[in-house]
Amino acid sequence: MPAASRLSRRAALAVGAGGLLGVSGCGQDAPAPLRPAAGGDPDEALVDEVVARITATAAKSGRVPQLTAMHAAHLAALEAEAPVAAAASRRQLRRAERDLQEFLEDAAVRAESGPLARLLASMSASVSQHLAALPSEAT
Amino acid sequence: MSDVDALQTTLAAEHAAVYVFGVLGGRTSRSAMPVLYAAVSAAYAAHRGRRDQLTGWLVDAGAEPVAAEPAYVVPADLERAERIARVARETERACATTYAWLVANAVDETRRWAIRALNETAVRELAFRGTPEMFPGAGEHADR
Repeated sequence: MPAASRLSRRAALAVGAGGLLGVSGCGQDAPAPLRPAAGGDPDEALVDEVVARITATAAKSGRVPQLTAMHAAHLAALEAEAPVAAAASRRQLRRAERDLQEFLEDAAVRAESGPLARLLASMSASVSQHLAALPSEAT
Repeated sequence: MSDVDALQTTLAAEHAAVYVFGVLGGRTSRSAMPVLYAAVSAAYAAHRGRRDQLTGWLVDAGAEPVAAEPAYVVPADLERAERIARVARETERACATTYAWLVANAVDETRRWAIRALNETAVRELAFRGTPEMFPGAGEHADR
């Protein structure tokens, strides 16, 4: 993907990331706008790394359609295409997903951009949710 | 926004979550709804723990932690398990949104704490008949 495309994507993330804060009935105001990425794109290499890791994991997820769909959504958010998914062994798949969740958590900490960090953290939470929701025989 | 401001905002949300789960616990029968009771109790304990952590960090930073409101609006009609689970699920989702917001507004260890809190609340949401989401706490990405 061209760098310019990702930069525009990043700008869109910065605009769209404000949202509900309050818990039921607490009535808080929306947060202040998130800090935008500074000039240049210090996260370009990180995004490339994230895309590569998700793509590699997605390629193993053919046995579990929910995981394939999740990875496709995450790659789409980063303006990357999902690979054709093959069926890895259940043990390999579960391990790969756990590794990806930890990687995304670390990547979110490393991100210079707050909105990008938020997106990566959300992806890590999605992986956690999908793993927790899978029946034990699925992976 | 300073780290202190971001933590204060998150603490305010945790005060609300603790209150809501306290109410839900009072409406959940241990004998008639043991699974839901256990899930609500676990959520209550988790949010109390988060609240206490945030309070401690703010005190350590020399700030006065934001106080809880006297009460929060909690939906009525909490007689049925389905309704209780729904309110619990919505509360966890709201907390996920707050944690995700903190991720964007914090760095280093505070950000890591927020990421882990986001992961935990997202998984806990499943105990309340939730289904996995593509972007917990950042649902606007699902529509892109």
